[in-house]
Amino acid sequence: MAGEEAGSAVDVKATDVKATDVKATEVQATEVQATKLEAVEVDAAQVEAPAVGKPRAAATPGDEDLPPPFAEPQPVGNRYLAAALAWLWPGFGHLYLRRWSRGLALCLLVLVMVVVGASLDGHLWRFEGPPTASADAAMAALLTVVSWGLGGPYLVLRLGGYGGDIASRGFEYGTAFLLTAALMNLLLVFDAWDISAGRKW
Amino acid sequence: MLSHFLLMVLYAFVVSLFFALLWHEEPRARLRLFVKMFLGMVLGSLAVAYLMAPFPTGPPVPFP
Repeated sequence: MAGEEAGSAVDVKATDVKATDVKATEVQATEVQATKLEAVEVDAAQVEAPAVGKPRAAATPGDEDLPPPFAEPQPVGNRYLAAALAWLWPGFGHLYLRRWSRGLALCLLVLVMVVVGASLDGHLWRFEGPPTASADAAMAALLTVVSWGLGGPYLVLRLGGYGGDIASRGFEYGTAFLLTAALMNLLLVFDAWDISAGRKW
Repeated sequence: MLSHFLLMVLYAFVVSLFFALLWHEEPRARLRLFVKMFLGMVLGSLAVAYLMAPFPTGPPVPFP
């Protein structure tokens, strides 16, 4: 209704509304002038909002590593299989999820760490003898479980008879490289899981 | 390659590159993180080494 200073209505139909304070559950109007307008129900389909965020370059066809502008990541593949493949060999989980460049690059980096660590005769942790109740045994057990995170490369080294050489000059460095490679591969497992779950690109 | 410094630089390079590729999608963000991590590790290690320099060394290495 025209000319009202303030009011409340359940159903307002007007062609020309001028009000300073209008509260309505349903408003149909062709022209509304108000200093304060509150509506309980808003048809969001008719609301256009500007795109937020910085626009990114459009992805080229076939390149699934670059996220399209303003798109949300979607679940892809089987997350358990992705995680298992990621553990089995560095980067395999990402290749399964069709993240080609990401999988290959991360695979290469983990393998570089493994090769350097093995060339320096670093220690490849494993359970040796019956378990004992000591801090050293607990640390050794923890480091062995961490080393298992390396997956396929660990099995390859172990089956090839590799064990490291404590007398080697690079022993400590090699051990650090091998342990870091195992931790990196564990991060790849989580990353593959997150990509498969649709939490990230 | 048994130089302490070169091994440290190689370690810092690989780890920095790994996290830059893992945590970011855009090239500029990756480059920024890589440089920060790499320089942080290398320069930080050198700084700690100089800070430890006045302190006495340990027993001699048992092999050359």
